[in-house]
Amino acid sequence: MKKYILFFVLSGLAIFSACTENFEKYNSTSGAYTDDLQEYDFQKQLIPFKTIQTAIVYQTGVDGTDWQFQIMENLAADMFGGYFHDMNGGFNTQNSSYKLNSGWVGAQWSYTYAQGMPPIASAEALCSKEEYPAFYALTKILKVAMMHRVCDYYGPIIYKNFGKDTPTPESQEDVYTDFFDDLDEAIKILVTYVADKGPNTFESADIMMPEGKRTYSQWLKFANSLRLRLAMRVSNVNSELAKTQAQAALNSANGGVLENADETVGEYGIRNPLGGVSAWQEVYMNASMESFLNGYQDPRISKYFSTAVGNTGKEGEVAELFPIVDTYKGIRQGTALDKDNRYMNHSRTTITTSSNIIVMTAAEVWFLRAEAALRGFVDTGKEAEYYQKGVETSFAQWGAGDASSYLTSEATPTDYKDAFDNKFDVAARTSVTPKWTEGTKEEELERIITQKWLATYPDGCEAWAEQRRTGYPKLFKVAVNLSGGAIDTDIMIRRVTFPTDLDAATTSSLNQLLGGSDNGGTRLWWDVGQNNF
Amino acid sequence: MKGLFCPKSLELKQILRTMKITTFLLLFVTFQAYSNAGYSQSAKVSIPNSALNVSEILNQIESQTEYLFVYNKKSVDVHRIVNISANKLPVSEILDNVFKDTNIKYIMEGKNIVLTERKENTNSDSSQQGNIIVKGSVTDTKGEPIIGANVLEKGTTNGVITNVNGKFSLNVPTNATLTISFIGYQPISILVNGKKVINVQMKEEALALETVVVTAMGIKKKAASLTYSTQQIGGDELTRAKDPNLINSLAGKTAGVSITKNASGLGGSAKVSIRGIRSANENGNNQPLYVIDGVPMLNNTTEQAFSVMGGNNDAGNRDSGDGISNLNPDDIESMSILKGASAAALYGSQAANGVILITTKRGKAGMQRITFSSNLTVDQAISLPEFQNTYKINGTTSWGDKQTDMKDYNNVDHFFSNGVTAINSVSVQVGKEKTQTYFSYANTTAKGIISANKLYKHNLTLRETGNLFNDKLILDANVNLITQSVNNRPTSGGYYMNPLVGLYTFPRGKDMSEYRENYEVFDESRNMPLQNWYTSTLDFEQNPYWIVNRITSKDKRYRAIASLNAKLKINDWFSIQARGNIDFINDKFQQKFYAGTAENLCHENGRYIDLNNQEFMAYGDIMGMFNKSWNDWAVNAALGASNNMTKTNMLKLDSGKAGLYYANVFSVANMILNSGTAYVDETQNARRNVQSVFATAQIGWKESIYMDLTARNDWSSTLANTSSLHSGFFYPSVGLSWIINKTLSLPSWINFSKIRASWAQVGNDLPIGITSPQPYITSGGIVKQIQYDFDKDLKPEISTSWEIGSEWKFFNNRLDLDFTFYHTNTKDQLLYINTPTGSHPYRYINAGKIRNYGIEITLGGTPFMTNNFRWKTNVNFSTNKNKIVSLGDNPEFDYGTGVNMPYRMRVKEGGSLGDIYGNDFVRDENGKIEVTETGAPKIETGNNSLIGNANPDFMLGWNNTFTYKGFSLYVLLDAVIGGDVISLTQSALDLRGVSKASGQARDKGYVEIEGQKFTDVEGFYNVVANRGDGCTSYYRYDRTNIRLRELSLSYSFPQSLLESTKFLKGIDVSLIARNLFFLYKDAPFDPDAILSVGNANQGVDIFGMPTTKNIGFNIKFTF
Repeated sequence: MKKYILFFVLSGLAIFSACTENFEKYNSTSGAYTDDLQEYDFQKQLIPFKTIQTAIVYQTGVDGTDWQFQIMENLAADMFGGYFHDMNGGFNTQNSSYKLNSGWVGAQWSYTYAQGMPPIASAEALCSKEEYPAFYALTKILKVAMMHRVCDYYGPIIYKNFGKDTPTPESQEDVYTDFFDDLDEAIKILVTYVADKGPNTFESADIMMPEGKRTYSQWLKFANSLRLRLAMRVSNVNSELAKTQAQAALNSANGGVLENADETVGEYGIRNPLGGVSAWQEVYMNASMESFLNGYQDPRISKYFSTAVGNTGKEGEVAELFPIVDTYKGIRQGTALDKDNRYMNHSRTTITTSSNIIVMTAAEVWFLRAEAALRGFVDTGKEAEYYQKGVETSFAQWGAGDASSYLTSEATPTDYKDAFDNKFDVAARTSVTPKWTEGTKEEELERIITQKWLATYPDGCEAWAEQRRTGYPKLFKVAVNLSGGAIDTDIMIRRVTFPTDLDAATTSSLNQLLGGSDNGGTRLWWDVGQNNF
Repeated sequence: MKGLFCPKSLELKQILRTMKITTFLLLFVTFQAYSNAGYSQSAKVSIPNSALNVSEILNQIESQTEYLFVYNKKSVDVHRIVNISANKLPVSEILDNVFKDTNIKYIMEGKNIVLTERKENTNSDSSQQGNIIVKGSVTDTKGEPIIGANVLEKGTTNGVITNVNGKFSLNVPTNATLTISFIGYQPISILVNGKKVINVQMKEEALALETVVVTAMGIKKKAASLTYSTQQIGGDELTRAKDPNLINSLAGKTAGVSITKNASGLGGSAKVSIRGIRSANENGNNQPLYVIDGVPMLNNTTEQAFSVMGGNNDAGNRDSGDGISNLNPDDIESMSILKGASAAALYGSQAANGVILITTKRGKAGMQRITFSSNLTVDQAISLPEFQNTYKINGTTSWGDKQTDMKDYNNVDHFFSNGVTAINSVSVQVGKEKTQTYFSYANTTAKGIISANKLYKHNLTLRETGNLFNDKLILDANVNLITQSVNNRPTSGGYYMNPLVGLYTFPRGKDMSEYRENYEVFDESRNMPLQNWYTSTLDFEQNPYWIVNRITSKDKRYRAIASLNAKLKINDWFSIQARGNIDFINDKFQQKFYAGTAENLCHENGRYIDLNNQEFMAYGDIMGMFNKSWNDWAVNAALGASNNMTKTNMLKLDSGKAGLYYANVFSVANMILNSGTAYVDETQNARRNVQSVFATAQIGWKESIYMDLTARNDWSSTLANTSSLHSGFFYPSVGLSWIINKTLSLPSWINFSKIRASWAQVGNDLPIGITSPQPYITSGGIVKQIQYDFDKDLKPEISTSWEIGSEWKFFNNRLDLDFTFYHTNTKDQLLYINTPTGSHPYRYINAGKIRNYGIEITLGGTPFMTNNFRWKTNVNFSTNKNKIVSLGDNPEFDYGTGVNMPYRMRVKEGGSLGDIYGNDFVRDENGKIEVTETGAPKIETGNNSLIGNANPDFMLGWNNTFTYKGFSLYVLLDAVIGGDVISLTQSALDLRGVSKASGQARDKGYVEIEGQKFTDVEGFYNVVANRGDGCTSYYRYDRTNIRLRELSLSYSFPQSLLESTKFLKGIDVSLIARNLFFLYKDAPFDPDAILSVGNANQGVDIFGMPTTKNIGFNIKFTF
């Protein structure tokens, strides 16, 4: 009897311990979008692009919340670049007053690397140059479009080595070299592909080119435009490199650049996170925008901002020193008032969640060309003509009517008057006019960049980067500086700090490559502190 | 108390209805049970009206029952004709009739009925010559009558069995000895010695020999032999003062077990933490495994607080409730808490957090008991914030001018009403020798302190136990059916959809009644009523009455647990047991947000959440059990295998801000789900299969030294795609105990002395599916790529622990002491690390080590005892130290990043789990707070200062029972000492100037911190109480609190009084109170009410529902 029992139990155990073959099935939940299913309709190759395209101007899509964009861009570049300001009292003592909130300023890095770079790595793995040359080229273009925004925030980043076993960071100079190499390679591939009349395989996944222009030749224009943007970025630090790259970008044999108002590169058909943040009543006109747009009586003002509501007589409002209702009224950076949300009845952005997200406009490209001409890289002497083109294209893009009278206007920016407390009042820092007049190259550059700044609205990343590079437009300085000496009020903020959650080796390598303290006062590589003419 | 006893009150009607139903059921069951009578006599026989000879009657009885007659044909005249008519009469009654006026008597011995001749003459003469009639009753230790016990004159066959009331009457010689026996009880012999009344109390066999406890896998062992610490909890601890979640009743009663409840009102989930937290993972499992009668049950909490700001996808924080709260406390016979890894080691990869073994009630042979108990408590909010009443409104704040005669509108008190909890239950325990039945029904009807919050629960249990084939096979089947609805469960805290935000911050000196009565007003432009509030209702702040009435929710749970246990006894020392159960939970949650709800959190047409969740578990095991002694040696061993499969299917649809097509139509078809702002969370067939083999052996020598060995190997499906898939994981344990008093001769005042030591290694299984990542599609057709990769050697978290302990009993067992020291290292922590430079942004790895060590002491005694009065007291003390020894090479990580609040939980090497980080004052080298030019304190922001730790330094429970005759007074004091909590509620109230603190500061003209005065009071609070960047340390409070946790005064009616009723066996009435008051408390809220039962969001109060004190009565009838 005993023997049988033992046999029974042991054989039971033996059978039991052998059924692990179903474990992989058990551990995989049903309903997933598996690799096999992704083969259909070439989705395996196309899916990464869907994410990549939404990660340039960051849109999580999945979570449907916009606070990631808010801390990545809206509470940083959008404000430092002079476009917007939050009315939220609780936020006024942080980034606004140069007391950088490490959780916010690290977000451009954290979210871009989390959302954007993994699909780039998988696209690179899936789309080899030989098998899918056009997809390969797009990956490179998108990678540059995405990562230069990150690089322009921090300086050194991980670019070429991303996804490798040792993801070593590179200096900003090296990263920019990689940017130009990647763009060069992509452009060469696409030029050949377009010339060979390769099939238009990307149209169904394309959300960045306007409808009707979802072709590889349009992507080529974007790639050349991007190359021009980055070329001008390095013009002060390495004029030779800038010149070579600008000439390559504008070489018509390479496919041309964006020229018309209907060629805006964007992220079409998805929720605009700026509109989401604005719905929380947290995207207001910056005092600098008020000064220039009001001073110039710029017709685009009503396209960009709504007029102030002003005091409504509700409980809790702070009394205005003068009525602001129906005027365009902005908020000065660094008021450091955290008592209340007194500015909540000021002018807000018109951007909503359904507005198209703008990545690059033809107007910007005209201004880049104007600067290239000014610097004598290409088309020397055509700076005035291209400047005029830039203004006209921007007016056309925003439906702001005829620009001819604007282009002859000698109006100047207005002084800023705070609606509640005159200690925040500040005089305009420049008298540059919309009208082109011959002057020094520095004066001409100020005019070009000031108008470019007005035209690139609402892309704060580009506005802030160019403001740092050129010093234009002359933005109002912070009223209260809480940086504890890290950032000079007059020199203004130069960058933001690295995220705090990187591993120690990466952090120390980044700090070394930065070549200065990891704070907001350290200049980036391309930011030399003056324009070299 | 308004409304409570008012007949208009819906709740009261509900309670009355419930009572009616229960009474009906009670009567019905009583009737059923009476017709079923007691055990030996319960075999019913029907014989049509006829004249039969005795032999034919005996044959009839044999054919209709299992009884066999044993008799000598010479003495029994079987041909005698008897007139008989029996319709379902008990055998005994028929036999009484048949042998009336004869010299034949009968005695039932098991299945045999022995017919014998009376040696003595039955005439009165002989009785006068030396026989007397002895009467008496036989009861068990609880005073319950034992039906069918054999009462036998020793050395003869003269005997009777006790009747339904446990009474007997027997004619015996005056000098006879009576032997009283009954299955499962220790036999008793008593000398009659002329006594005419003999009442006997029988002790259960097991109880009489030695205390037997249920250990892992349901294996029973002698308490004295255990090599580790466990704690036994009687079922009465759960029913004395009932809580809608029964596990809360254990708070303060066990050393080393911390029980805290979610601040989400009625029936909220509970956090049970045994010997500290071991898993550092934000979503790690730190709750014990619950096992009912040897088989595991589901105890998942599907949703907990998402952040201190608000819930998932900008909804309110939601507590989905847990599994243990569903059970009916009346069904529970006892609980055995396996605290350490050694005790729980046999559960392998599920044992890391300890195991709570629940033994439920069953029918007992020879017992017939019906109990009805009714419990009614009134719940009142306590620990409400304190408000100022002198400073007027200014804007939306109360930083206005002073007004000494300001009216206190008591808006807060008006909002909360008295809650009522009524729990009615009936249970029937009835048993024959072969089959025993337990049936119970319980009904819980409760109304929360927010009157829209209601809970309805029905529990139905049927358990049937049968002994077959000469008691060789025991079958035990148990079915539990549960339905529970919770309407409008309040959020456990946070700013979103929380009525307390608007309620508490409402300006002082203003009457809220306008907004109470008109929480919505008609909007002409939309032709519908919309929210009405004194200030903007964009996001955080809304009209509390709007939230209560226009953001409504319903949680509905259906649950069925069914189990079957078959035990086959092969011989005296070997048996085989097979067990299986299924546990099925179906949850439905619907939440409706009406148009007009905060526009940043809700679409203009409203918002709808529809969640369906099914969890299923099937478990089966088979065990061979060996139990034998030779001379000095005893072996108790088991070998077995088990298979456990769980499966979850969940679909959550949340229209979020994507909204609804048409306003206030709450249906799935009306939801706009095709965009990324809608939220679709889908889990299809998420399965976990754990297959195990296990073995355990206890070897005892001379009943003084015991060695315990266990071994288990688990193969878990969650290890798919890892290198350990096929080998699984092996979990061993070893323990040794020495009962000193059995070996050495100790002074007589030491009754018991034991030392013990044990070592074990157990695991904490991986979460489902993490090693099989797959892309999936979310709402709007967005493809969610795989976000992480994982180490191919990924394995469960491994806890290695050892404990030593000692037990002592002194002075005739009037004083006992139990001491344990334990030490646990949990290595291979499952970490989800950020790899911002890798090809996936995250990676799962095993790294790091968490250490817990501590001591547990229980000291019990009976300091005072007389015939009528007894004082029993018991103190339990425990302390646990937690240390994050290492995190591998990984940097620290936070729980809950990205939320703009001065609060984080950070896991950092050298720190402890539960560390809270936030902002602190900037101080100069002398420790003085630095000030800005405006005189406000400077604050170091960025949440990088260690503010404290949420876990207490030690816990102390002290319970006392005083009994005097039928009265019994129970007092439980519960102390939690040390630890830190943050009140962001207080911070928010200070910022708005509504708090008493801000009023007092204005009265004084300054705020003083460590002698430093800040005279701009408003400026001070604007800085320190800032929502995003305030000073966390200023709002840190000591968690220490001492409370009167439980108080009950009960009275049992004396038997003498009840006997006259013929059917009542007991009436117990008691006055009960829980959480009556705090003897000490520092925090402005109840620090033991928590935002989440998970690992994140600990030690912070952010507009959590106030704790309640519960006062009421309990009445129990036993029939």
